[in-house]
Amino acid sequence: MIRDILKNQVQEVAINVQQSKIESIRKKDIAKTAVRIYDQGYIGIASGIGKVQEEMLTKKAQEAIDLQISYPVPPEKEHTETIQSSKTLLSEEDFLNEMEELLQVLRQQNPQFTFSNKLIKQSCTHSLNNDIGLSLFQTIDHYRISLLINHQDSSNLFDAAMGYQSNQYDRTILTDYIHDICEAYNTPIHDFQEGIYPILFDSSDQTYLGKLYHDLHGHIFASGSSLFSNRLGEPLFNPLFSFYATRSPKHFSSQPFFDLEGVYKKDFLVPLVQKGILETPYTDKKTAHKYHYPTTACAGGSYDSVPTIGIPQAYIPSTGKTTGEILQGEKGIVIVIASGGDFTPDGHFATPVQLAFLYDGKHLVGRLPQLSISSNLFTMFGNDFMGVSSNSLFPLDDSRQTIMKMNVKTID
Amino acid sequence: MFIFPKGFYVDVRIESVFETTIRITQNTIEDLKEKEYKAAFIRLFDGRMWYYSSTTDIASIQTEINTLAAVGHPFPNIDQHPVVQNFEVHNIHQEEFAGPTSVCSISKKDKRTLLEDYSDLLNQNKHIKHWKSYYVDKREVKDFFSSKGSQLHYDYEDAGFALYYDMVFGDTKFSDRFDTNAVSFEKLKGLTATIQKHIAASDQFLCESKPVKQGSYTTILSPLAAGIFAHESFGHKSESDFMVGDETMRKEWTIGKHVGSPLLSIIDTGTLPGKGYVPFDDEGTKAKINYLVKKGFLHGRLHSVSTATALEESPTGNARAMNFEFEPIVRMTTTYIEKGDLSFDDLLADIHEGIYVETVKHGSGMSTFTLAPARSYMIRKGKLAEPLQISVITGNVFKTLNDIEGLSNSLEIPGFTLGGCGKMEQHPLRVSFGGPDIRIKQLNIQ
Repeated sequence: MIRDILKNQVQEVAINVQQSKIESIRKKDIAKTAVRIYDQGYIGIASGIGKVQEEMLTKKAQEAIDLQISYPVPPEKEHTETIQSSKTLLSEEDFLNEMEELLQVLRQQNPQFTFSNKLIKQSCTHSLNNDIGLSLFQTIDHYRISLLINHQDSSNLFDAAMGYQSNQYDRTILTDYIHDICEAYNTPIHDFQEGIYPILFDSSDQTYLGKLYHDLHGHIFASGSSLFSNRLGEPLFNPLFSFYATRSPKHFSSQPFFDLEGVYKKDFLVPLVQKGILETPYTDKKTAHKYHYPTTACAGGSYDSVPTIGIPQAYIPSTGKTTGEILQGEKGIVIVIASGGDFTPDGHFATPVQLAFLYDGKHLVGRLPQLSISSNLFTMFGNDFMGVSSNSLFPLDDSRQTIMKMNVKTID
Repeated sequence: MFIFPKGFYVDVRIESVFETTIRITQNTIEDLKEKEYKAAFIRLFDGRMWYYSSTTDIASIQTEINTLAAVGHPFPNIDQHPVVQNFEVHNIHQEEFAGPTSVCSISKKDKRTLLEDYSDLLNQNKHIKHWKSYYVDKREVKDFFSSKGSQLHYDYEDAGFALYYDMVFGDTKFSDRFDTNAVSFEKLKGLTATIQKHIAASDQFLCESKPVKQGSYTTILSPLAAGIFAHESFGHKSESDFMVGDETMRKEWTIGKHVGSPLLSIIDTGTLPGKGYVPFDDEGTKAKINYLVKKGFLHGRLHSVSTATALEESPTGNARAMNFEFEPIVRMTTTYIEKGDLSFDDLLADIHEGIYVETVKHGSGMSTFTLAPARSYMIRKGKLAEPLQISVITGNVFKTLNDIEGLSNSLEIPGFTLGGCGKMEQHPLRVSFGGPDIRIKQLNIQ
């Protein structure tokens, strides 16, 4: 019998912003503990929140073995790794004062706009230990700034949005960027012509990655129901395109560097697509074992569930050029809000774009009308894939711009 | 029970939760767990600002109250504050779901067998190459105490299951799901024929569907699609926290304004059994029946106590929190379009070439709304015809509300086990939505 103990703790101060002012302050300190017992190919789990008695949870987890939940792979062992936050966040008092200052600047700089939603400072601790030498620990400290932006003359729920998650904070960079968004919003472009344009997605945007996530899932891939099934090692996409599962602290993941099974990889990165060639689906240990795929540190689930394949955080490496260099003088379209789109089963992609800005390679030129963009999975990551920028439009954020050509139409 | 400090309004919400999760992948039980926990959310209002604390230590609630009070600034006549005056006071002790039929009383074995039996239906279709199934139930007892004197003790529970499957026919792939929910475990029994019919429809779609020819079509939305449309396109706009302090929004959303077809009435209520059952909201307001639209005219909106006070209206019982970690914000409960008087065949009858949207993966709604259909069908000469692959349906919300030209006479409010409504950081919140079949003059189909 082997026992491991998983602990997560979240300490948070969350400011709710309404009409550009602080409406409320919420404090949270939540600890969650799960004890997992492995015995004769089965797993038993017991959990609790707040103060728990580990021995009591151990007893319950042992009893849960009787449910005969199969776990045919051995738990991780003999790894020790600790990663501490690389940066100290503002104290609670300083954070509250700074957010007051931030909102004041936003009000002054953008009198035609109001701001709402959440400003959060969060510290998370994750640990996984077992009695065969596994000892993994990480602290993650970050700010989560998420602001909805409304123009005073608008009757929309919100007109624009800005959000990022990072341990970096710089009021000037943040307010300058938001001011650029507001200025671009105030500059409507009336003579836009429909056609084929370079589309700039934030590289972590789920809108255009959904089909990749679905069809690279280890079980779906192995079952033959993925568009990529039986195509391992084939060049499916543009050689400029690579797609990694990341748990790297460098990518400001809110996940720990280890997955729910305690697996982690060199540099906390696993290539799923490398230079256009399909390398592997993403897996947990059970799936990897069953289908003879590599493990990719993608076991997920809630803290107290039996690990299963979880959707990884994507990292699409830069292709080495800036947005301006990739566009080569062409104007691109920066996607800010694209809600409601999807892929068909055969890979056709279409989404409405509620807010997009025209971009000249250096600046947001102005606000475009509502658009509809469309393409196909193998085209958008194939011939129409232009690259991933080396720079970010927003310097406090690590994400880059994925640029690909798509058909663009206006929505009446 | 608690000592509430003077000069503040305070309320305490204690949540006692029991829940079960079972997950099966390809005939292998991957997870089966029951868990119970108790936790609390405390709110304190000093007349200017709200202070919140979430805790898993029930014994520390009084300490948390005192700590929040130390941060706030006492307001001499807090009871006279218009927000505080608007809080309802109720003394209720009720448990509607406790007893031998409660999900707490059903054995793990029975729950597992139910899911295994339904999952086995997936094994019987040769085109299903991969499947996963989930059983989820939840019982929640809420205790609510306020410094105005409210003392509530009430419960809620539901149970449901979802079957997800991936199908292959030659080079053609299709993913679909069957997802249902009920107010008791017993009501989940006897669904074999329904599931078989659902799988057969997926199979036909897999083998026969063709890409749609893009364009504008007269479209019939099923009760499910109509419900998502009502929720996404109008329900969120009725959440009045977006209007507080925003004069443009208030003018745009003046009660009595014409917003849609005279056939259209949209209701939100926490009184109906199901995922949107909320007998009291998370600040102690009793559920009401709220018409958002009545016969095409804006009739009401959804409120918390704060938003109702700010807009000089009445609380509607829509202040809801996802769980003990969050403060209540304005959310929907059960949102639906009222039924009309036509049969489904009447709706189809004079459509020469149109689209019927039967099932939907997801939807969204701003000034333009979207629906991503799973299964859709061509309508030809008043009859349902071949299945169609559609990636997204879009339309301008207000144009579409005005373009509603027929409603069927059957109201359905389907329930879902997994997922829910998302707003800001709080996702998923349990809600229901539905309606009749609705016919819309023109929608953009891609």
